[in-house]
Amino acid sequence: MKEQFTFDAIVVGSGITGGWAAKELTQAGLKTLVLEAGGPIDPAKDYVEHVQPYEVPFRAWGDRRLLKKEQPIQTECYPCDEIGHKLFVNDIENPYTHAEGAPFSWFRGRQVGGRSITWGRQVYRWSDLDFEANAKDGHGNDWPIRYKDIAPWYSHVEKFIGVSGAREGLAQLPDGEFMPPMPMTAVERHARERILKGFNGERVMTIGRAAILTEAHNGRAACHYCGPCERGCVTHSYFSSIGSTLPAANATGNLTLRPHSVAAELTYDAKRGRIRGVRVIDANTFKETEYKARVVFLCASAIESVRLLLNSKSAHFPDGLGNSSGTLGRYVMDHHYGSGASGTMSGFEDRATFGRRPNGIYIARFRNVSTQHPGFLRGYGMQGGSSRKDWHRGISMPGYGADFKKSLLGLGSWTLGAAGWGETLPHADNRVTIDPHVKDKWGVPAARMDVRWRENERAMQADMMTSMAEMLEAAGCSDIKQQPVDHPPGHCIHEMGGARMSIEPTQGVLNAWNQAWDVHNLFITDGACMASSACQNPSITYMALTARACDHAVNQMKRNEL
Amino acid sequence: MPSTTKIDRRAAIQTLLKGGLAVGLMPGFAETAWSAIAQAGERPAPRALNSGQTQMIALIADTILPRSDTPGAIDVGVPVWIDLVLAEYFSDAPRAAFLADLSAIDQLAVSTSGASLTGLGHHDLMTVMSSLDAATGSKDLTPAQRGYVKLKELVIHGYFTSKPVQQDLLKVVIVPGRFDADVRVPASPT
Repeated sequence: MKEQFTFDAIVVGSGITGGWAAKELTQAGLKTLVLEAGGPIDPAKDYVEHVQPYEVPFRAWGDRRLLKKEQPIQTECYPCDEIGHKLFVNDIENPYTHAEGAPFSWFRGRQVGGRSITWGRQVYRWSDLDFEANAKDGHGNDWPIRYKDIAPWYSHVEKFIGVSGAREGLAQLPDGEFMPPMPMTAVERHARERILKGFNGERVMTIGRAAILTEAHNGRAACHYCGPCERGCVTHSYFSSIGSTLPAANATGNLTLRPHSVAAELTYDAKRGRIRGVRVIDANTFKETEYKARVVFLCASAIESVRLLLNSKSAHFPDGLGNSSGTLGRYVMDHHYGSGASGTMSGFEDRATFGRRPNGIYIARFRNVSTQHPGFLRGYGMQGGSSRKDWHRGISMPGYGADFKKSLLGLGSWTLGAAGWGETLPHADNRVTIDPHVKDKWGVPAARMDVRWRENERAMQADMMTSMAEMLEAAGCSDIKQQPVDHPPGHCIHEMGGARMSIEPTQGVLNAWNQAWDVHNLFITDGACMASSACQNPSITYMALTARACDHAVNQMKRNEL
Repeated sequence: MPSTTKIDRRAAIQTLLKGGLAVGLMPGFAETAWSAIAQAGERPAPRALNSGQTQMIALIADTILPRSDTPGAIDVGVPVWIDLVLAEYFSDAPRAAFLADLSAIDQLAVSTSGASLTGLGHHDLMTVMSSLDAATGSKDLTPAQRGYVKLKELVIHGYFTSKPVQQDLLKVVIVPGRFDADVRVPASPT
């Protein structure tokens, strides 16, 4: 068959947002090319969620020499171990740099499905507390949308992907289209009630809202509770593009998926003021090809999409495509996370669990919701859970001998804990640029990161620990330990910003429909579009914005406005 | 005082040094344990350790997790796995540091009981083990304590992630098919 070079639409990236763009555009009848830099995935061979530690030489610790040689950065991410490392990039082939004194963790997956295979699966709607935050306190620019604009699209996404969760009626964490929630443990139920009572209903511990099925849905089976979702799921019981949106797109007959396709540049037709297409380097042959389309969606992940724009310079856009505002690459954010507390809960020694729930508890944001905290702006949610200690406790526990062994074969005490996921303020000088000296394996100039936590994030991290310790005390825990954590930016894998949405073209890169102000046939719907970070896990907001942007693009195309 | 089960340690260690592992196994446990041993036996042994170090590691592993009514560390191939980890998982500097700390354990045995660790009688061995184990969880460690704490981690991880222990003792269900959030169990000491 002769290769096709011209399409109605091109989508760069096949992960969470790329899959959604592919589904929505193909279902609208558009012949759509999806470009993926990595190779194809065969779940039957490549998913490894049922591999046991004794099946690999180092019992899941990882082949340290190989990981340190090829994936020294990726291996800092918890699923990139001896079992799951193939779902992460080779750091030597995919370099990036960072400013001195500003370490940045960039965890990446280049394969069909992208990071939707390894993502955390936690999904929380934003509220107007989030969309109005920039306007109210003056940090960053005002969002061009409010909750009412995106709410129907949250529903659209939730109905398709399947989200399990409990309705709580919280204004700051709107309920969604939930299937039955996963159950809380006896300890968690006890703690929820004690915390509600202890804090006059202000602090609400609920079960995590997860894109994991608790009942069969859209041809996908319910979760079988094996545990390590981040290694893949052969039953597609959690949402991934490879198990959900890409098959839906493929079923239309309008999808062309091209793996091993490194997008190197967006080509610009200065005469028509439009994107002409995408210059692609074949990852295996290094052959260059230009694919053309009426509309292009960038869904390559926040930093990759911004990098692609910065690498797409022309006489018209000498500082990067779509950068007339000068904001391209600026206002980069991630969530700062991990500080919290844990404790021991007595009185439940006759209770245990069966199965491995791939989900935990969530404590909805309670800071700066109704009253202003004196120490910081914005807020944080908390994620954690309870469990009984297992044999690992023996490593730090005195003892040896037959009784010691026997005790470790049984269950230990209950622990309960949670850590904060905090909002980061948007700063112009938290940014991504292009490193003039470093290129990737395919000759594409690499990204250079300069992102730092500031005073507001530090103050919030301290409060995460003390507030969690307070809640554990109210819940009745003992041996409460506060845990400070200082991950570098990027480590939360919630990188956002760099091509933000704005009300005016002078303030940002994208309009209210994720459409580039400067080039109307270009849409950016991954994390790059975010004008603030809120504190909720952001993927469902990206998905909803993508579906909304696709609808807008299709309507404009029907009206011949694109 | 931790309890111990008296077994023929030297016989077990001698078997280990001959390239295999101790083979006297619990009833109903043989099939999976034999499988683990067969797999372990395919590896050239030992790789990072000389015979004296191998004997020491086997002895300490067997003292931390001895055979009782359930298999011990040697039964499920822990020393062979530790050798692999030291040879291929540890990089040069941490391996050298660990082996130096292991040597410090032997020096401690000589200074306190007059013989190398593998030459100690049961009482003296327990005395040395108690002094080393008392440091578990501490941060300010002597070289011997540091070596012991690291070795204890390796022994516990190697034992509890082994196939026989995962399958037959912990009875890990790979695909549970459901999540029960509140299962009543006999209250157990923690």
